[in-house]
Amino acid sequence: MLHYEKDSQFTPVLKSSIHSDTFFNSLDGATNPRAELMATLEAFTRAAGDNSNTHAQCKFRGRYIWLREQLKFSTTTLPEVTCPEYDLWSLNGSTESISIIFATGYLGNPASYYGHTLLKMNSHKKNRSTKLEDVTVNYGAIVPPGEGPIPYILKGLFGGYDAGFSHIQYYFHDHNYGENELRDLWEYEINLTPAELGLVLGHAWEVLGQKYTYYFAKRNCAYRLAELLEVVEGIDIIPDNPLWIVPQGLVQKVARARHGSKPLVKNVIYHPSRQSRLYKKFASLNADQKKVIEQTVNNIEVLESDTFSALEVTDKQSILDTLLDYYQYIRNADLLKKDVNNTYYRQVLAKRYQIPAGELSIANTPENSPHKGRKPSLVNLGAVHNNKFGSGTSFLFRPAYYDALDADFGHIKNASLSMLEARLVMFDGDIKLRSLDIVNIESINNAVTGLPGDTGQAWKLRFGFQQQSLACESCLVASLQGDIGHTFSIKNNMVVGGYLGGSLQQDKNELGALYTRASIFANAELNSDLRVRFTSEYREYLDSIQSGDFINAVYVRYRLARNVDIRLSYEKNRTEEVGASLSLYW
Amino acid sequence: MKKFAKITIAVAASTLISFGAIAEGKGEPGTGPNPFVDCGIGAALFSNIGWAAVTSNVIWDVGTTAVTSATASPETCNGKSVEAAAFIYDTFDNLAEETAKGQGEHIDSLLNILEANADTRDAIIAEVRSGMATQVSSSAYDSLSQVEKASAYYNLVNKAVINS
Repeated sequence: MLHYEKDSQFTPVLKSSIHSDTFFNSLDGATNPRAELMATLEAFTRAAGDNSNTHAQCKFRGRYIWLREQLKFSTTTLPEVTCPEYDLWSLNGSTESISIIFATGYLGNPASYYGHTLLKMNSHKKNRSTKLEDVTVNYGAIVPPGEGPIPYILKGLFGGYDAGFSHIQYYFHDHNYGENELRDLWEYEINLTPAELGLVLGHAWEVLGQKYTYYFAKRNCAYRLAELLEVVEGIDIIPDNPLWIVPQGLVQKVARARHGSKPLVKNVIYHPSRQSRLYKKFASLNADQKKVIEQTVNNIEVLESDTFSALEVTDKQSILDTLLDYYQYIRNADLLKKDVNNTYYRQVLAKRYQIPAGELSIANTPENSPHKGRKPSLVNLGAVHNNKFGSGTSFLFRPAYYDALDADFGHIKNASLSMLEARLVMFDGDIKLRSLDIVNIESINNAVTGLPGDTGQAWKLRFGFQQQSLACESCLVASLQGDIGHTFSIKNNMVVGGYLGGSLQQDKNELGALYTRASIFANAELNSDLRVRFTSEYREYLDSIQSGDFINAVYVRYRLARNVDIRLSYEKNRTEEVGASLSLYW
Repeated sequence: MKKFAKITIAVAASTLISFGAIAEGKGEPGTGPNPFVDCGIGAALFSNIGWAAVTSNVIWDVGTTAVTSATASPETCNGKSVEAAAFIYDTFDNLAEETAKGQGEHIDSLLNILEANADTRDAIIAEVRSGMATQVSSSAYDSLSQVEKASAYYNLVNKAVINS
């Protein structure tokens, strides 16, 4: 509960990961567990002053609850102090359970790529309130105003920020994630006894406002949140990876865990984002209703037509509710009248007020929950044959997260997101780094409805090191690549698209420092286990006398099991190379 | 971007959860002036907190963003009224849509915050719905800012709660 860790890899000295002086009762409490224990016990015995909320029994509520149980405090010798602030915060014992909330990843901000986790204290059933009013506890970095993107990334990675837990009502997160960032929320309600629940709440209270150091890779939201739950005897949920933790990895371990004789998770609840609700509503419409939607988005005056007026009330409700979600999805509310979609949204809303109140419910269909997805990290080993270099071995290592072929539950379909992915090849005992991606993102809008604004915007960003072709030696260059494009969905299982972009690269082998490119791709999901991807690119070198290159590839992925697949590849970039490999996700 | 201001509002509201709920404020729900006008919510808190704050992995030092420092009328800027105003501002679109539908979790939450009796809620929602129908039917509504829309909605709800 004091969060002692090894101060460094090279010494056995323990130091608390919390560095606020206010978290300790002993002057050397941060490094001396025994001294802190004795000082805490002594503080518990002090008389309560005018404000009992500042008494150690209240400030360190979690420690008090645990020590009271362990040492069997006698109320005669150690009177219990009342803690009005804690009682109010913990809603006077009305919390009936705790949930881990997992927000799926968001490609709009690097810190959100891998998703986020927070805790929700569920009291809405006992208090007859709504889940929006439940209190949440959230861990994050404390970033000063006006921080630029480069310092933000570097400090987040290397411990340049203080961090801590804050509390806020759930509606804030529900709105921020679900409405603003269009991220689905998955709730994992945890099986705890009332005593265990009290201990977790007490511990959450005592760490609120205390300062940690934030590390994006490992000591992040998932890790610290898991620590709160691990104060309960028998709960072991922090993933075993010594180097990094991905929030999805945490929820996967939580979902597999048992607590005593029961599963640790007693309930999984899906909270769809605005975008997901739009897609679900649109899919539930019949052909006539969809036709009215398509006519309306092309001409809002359809809402005032006799045809629309003649519709059944339930049809109007379904159509208008879908349009509300659609315009909410595509509009930029900050632009007011400068974005005509804001006016259209208001007109739809006005129409909704004119028809009778009421809302049709849509049948819940099972969703693919993130905890059922494959594990986040990848190693891949295979054999290759290169027309110039002969037969060899390939190796790929990806700390996280997914590519267009293996995007799974909780990921964006057909998209790619990876950091520090390394590909090596070995020919005749000579190992070469084929590529090292510091970051590689392909962001895809899957254009589910096909309505204007939901038609497949896409972009790519890749930064790292790459070999300039499959036929060269000593040709690894640093490069920054960017592309923007558009995608189209063909039925439900195929996406095609095209990009225009280019690269700034290290000038080597007379290929210059700049090239532009046009590319096309097609992804097809032939069945739930088999995906195929085709890419073709034409590259024009702007400051080189060399002619441009056509670069083509076909990739096939067949899933053998949840965490195992085989891959086949054909690539042509100044020479041809084929490969077959086996992947293991961990 | 609207989310910066919304985040700031909600942070202020979270301060109130901790401290305003304990204080013996005189601003009982359904009474008093509009918190958007009289408590500085509409003016004081829209500082740009930077693009980095968009991320969910960021928190703010809650203690530095208390809305009470901007109040014109401290007695009416505590507790439930401001909590309701913050909720309305942060979730306005959901409230507006649910009001049109006549039901929803955000409306339920708002009426819980305002401590509306269960047997008066249908009437409150109907009255707010009628008022909103008039407001959103006007093209002038397109020019209103988020604060102005939320403030107008607060007035409707406040009046309906008083009338109930």
